Amino acid sequence: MREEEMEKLRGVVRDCVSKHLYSSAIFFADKVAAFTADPADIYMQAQALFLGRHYRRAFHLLNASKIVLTDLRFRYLAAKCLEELKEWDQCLSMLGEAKVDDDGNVYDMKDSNVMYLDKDCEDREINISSAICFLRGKAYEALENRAQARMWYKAAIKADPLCYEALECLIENHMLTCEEEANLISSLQFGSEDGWLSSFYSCLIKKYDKENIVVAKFRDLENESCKSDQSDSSFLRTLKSNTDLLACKAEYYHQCGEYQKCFELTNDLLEKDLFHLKTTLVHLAAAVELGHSNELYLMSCNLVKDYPQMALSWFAVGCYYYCIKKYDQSRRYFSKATSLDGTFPPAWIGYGNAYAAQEEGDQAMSAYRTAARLFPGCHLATLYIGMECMRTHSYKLAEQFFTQAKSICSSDPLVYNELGVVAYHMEEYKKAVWWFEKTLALVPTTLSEIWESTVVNLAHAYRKLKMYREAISYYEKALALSTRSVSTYAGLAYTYHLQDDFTTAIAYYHKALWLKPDDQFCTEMLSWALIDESRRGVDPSLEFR
Amino acid sequence: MREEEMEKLRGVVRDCVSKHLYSSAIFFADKVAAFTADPADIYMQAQALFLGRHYRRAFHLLNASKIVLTDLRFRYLAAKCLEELKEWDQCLSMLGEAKVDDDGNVYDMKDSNVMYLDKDCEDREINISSAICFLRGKAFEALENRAQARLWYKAAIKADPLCYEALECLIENHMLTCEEEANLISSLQFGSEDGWLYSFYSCLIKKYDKENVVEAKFRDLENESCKSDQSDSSFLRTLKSNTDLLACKAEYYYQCGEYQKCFELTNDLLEKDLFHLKTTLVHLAAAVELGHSNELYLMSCNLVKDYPQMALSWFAVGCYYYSIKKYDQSRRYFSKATSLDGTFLPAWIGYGNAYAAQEEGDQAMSAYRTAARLFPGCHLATLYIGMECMRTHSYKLAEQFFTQAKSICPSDPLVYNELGVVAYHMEEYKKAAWWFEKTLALVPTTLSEMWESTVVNLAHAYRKLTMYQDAISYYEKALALSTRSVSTYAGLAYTYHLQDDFTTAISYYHKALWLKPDDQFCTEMLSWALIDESRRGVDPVLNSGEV
Repeated sequence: MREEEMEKLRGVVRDCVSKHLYSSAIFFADKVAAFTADPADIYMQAQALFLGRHYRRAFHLLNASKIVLTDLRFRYLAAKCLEELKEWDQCLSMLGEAKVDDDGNVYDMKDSNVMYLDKDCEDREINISSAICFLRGKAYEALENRAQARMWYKAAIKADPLCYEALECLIENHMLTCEEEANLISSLQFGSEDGWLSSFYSCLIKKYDKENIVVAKFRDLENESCKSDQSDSSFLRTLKSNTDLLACKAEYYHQCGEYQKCFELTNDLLEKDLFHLKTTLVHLAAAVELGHSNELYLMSCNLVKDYPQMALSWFAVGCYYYCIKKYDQSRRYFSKATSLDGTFPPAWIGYGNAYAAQEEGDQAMSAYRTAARLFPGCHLATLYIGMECMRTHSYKLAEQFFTQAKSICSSDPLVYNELGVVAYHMEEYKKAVWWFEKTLALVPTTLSEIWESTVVNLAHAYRKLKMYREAISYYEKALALSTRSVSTYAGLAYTYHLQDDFTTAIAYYHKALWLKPDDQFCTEMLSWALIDESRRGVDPSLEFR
Repeated sequence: MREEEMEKLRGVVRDCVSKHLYSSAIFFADKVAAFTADPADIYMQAQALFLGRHYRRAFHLLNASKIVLTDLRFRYLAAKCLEELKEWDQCLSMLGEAKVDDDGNVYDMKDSNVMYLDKDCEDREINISSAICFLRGKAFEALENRAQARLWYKAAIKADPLCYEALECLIENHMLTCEEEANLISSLQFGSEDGWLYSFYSCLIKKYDKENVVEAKFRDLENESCKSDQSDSSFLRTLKSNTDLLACKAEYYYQCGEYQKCFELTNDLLEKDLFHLKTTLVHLAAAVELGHSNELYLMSCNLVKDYPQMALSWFAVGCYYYSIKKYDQSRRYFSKATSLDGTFLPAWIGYGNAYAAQEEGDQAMSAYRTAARLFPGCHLATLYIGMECMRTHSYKLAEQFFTQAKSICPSDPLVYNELGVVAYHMEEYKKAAWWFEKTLALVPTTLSEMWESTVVNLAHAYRKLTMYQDAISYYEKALALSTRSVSTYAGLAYTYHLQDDFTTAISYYHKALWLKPDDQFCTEMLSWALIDESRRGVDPVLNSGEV
């Protein structure tokens, strides 16, 4: 057989692979490899077997080759076979001994004497060491050694910043705190033409920052054009409307509590890219907040139909039931999601929230604890644990959890709000004021109704400190955010009452009672105010006499 | 962004795909396609999504493209997405309207104005029309329209003989008779350098032929060297030891009843290529015949562990239980195999055989009927139906089924043997003798113990025809194959008895009874023979008295 004809057969194999005719690819690759015994052809055959999902056969073929331990591509593919077979210990063993530190630096690699096979072309390649580090991370994660997993993922992205999915795992599985994420991105060595990628990655990480800072990150992609020629600019313009990027923006809107804005954006995105996973997740969250149960129903049906083995699909079903307040059913499906993928944070949080909604604190706590343990970079789980402690009046314990949440994510205003609430309950009003002020300072956008309760809390705290003018000022700010708050009117009334301004107090008590006729506090206080006012009324008579 | 840098990103995508880092491939392909809006880049993105098993997203992307209906590659990949989503009607609709005749010729294709994207290289390609025909076959098969499926598979292999898996489906799913298979292979248009493939395909099809005919097919691969230069010869030498090819040879040994030879070969092959599927299947069958239950146990455990969703794995478990005669359990697992893959013939046959082994004829019949309906190219199911009819003495009906089996596969000696048996039971002894003779003429190798019962049956038939010399001749041939057959000794004895050779008859009756002391027929006949011999003994006395 002439080499030319053998090369034609190789082309047939490649074409069969590209047409996903794997049986044919295996058939012809087998004949070529049998004839040439060339490592490159054996590798091609193994690839065909792998794609045809014959992982055991592919592994056997690679392992039988004498160069499996000296050629990183053979070793890597053999390890990928073991990954598919879920033989994680063997997978790690195949990848070889190595150590990694917390910054993602790798030591004791014994693969320096590797031999590379001839490349089919000179295309840019992902550094294979990066792929190996990434696979180590996957194996450790599957073995539930998440500490090692996160170090290897970091090693992978540092070995090659183009190994996107290592970053994806770190972020999506909440393995890093906000600070760690930012430090990691800034430590990456991008190529000169990959500046856009650095900016893009910055948009993927947690976005608990002031609006101007976050918006600036999205604009950084355009700023790249200042350093490049015109064609770069047009590339960056397409990135601006990129679904991945806009999904991050939608996530940011959700974090800011701008649910309608978020929902509209995700709706548009999903019309363009059906089932873009990140967009789908954010869309579900926004739909829950907005009470769009029909949307949730339709979406969950479609997800379950097309991705029945994906945790997100059953999470969607759980969201639907949560939305219509059938918490038992929602928990069933959140639990199914966690059983399909134990590392899917939203399902654990949802599971806990469904218990919390029925005030089953112990159960909710258990779910949140699991989430906190699995996802060290996720501060919400720790935050919610603290909230459950508050429910049982364990204020000291709650404060510890809130402080821990703050250390994980130091720029989420919700954490500070809760620290304020716990201080208030512990009658440490000065500290409470400080936390509430900090909360409002951290709110990324202009204040919206979502933060009305914080403003009211701040007013309450000032009132407790007898700083009545400040209290009134914040009560009035709260009314500017929402005009239907009994708590605000009651607080305002009480503050005037404490200043002996009975007439004004009476007026506000009436407003509160108009909103909630059976409010006990306001009813009693109104009576007292009327008596007080009446008592003052008698005094002038005495003076007159 | 310069084109050069965009090309680098394309290279990154290709490399991510080759390293199976699909999330990264999707991420970068998305950016490239968004920028260029080039169909080739959109296609690359769709491929990445497909490989990452995001079939719905890939389909959506392709369908949103304006050229999905004018570019066969887009259309084909979109249809592949629908295949993975198991939306078979939509899959066929995406592939477009077309008709195919029984010879695999395609009509009314409306894809003549196709536009091909720039190719990445000039490699040899599978004709995309062939891939499309094959996918149509898969879709029809999934819709249980097997008549259409087989037509499209034939169309696929004819459109491009390199579309191996179309042939694989036709053969493995027993969609064609022996004759149809042979005709199909001979009708293919191979390229000048693909002569080896023609010979190879010839070895894949059914091998119910005389030994010299079958072995010639295997040797044809070497004969190719007469037409080629030295390097061809060395290529063909490697093919000679190729696992796919040797698996066919093992299958042939099995068909010939040479189970030990088969088992040894498959054992060697599986050491080289663990879980080579065809070899595995033949290995299991041989292990059952040889009673290697330990081997079956180990193998089934490993298969279930590595391929839990594959019918073959559960078939293996069924084989294990069958071999230790736990037929209820074996049926449970054969049934699991058929539920995983309704087109896995061995499981249907195994299921039926497990019922037959417990003489539950109706149930066995039902399984065989299903197999016969699903696999028109499989004569065994029809044959076994006939055997079940025999069990209930429905001889006319049995004969019809055996005749049908013969038309499906005219060169399997077992079919003729059964035709002989049914004729014998219908007391058509002349016809029976003819069928049995035909059987022995078709046995591919020299006679082995496997065919001893046929030889005995032939002897019985000749005895019924009072052709005693021929009967004795075949009884003695049977004894040469197996010396522990009560039936042979009994038949031989009876034949001599019928010829009034009482002494010899008595001798053979004794041999039969020595093997089976409680044989009723031989006991009675021995008594009669002794009486007959004694009666003849008196006659001389009378003669003497007269003197």
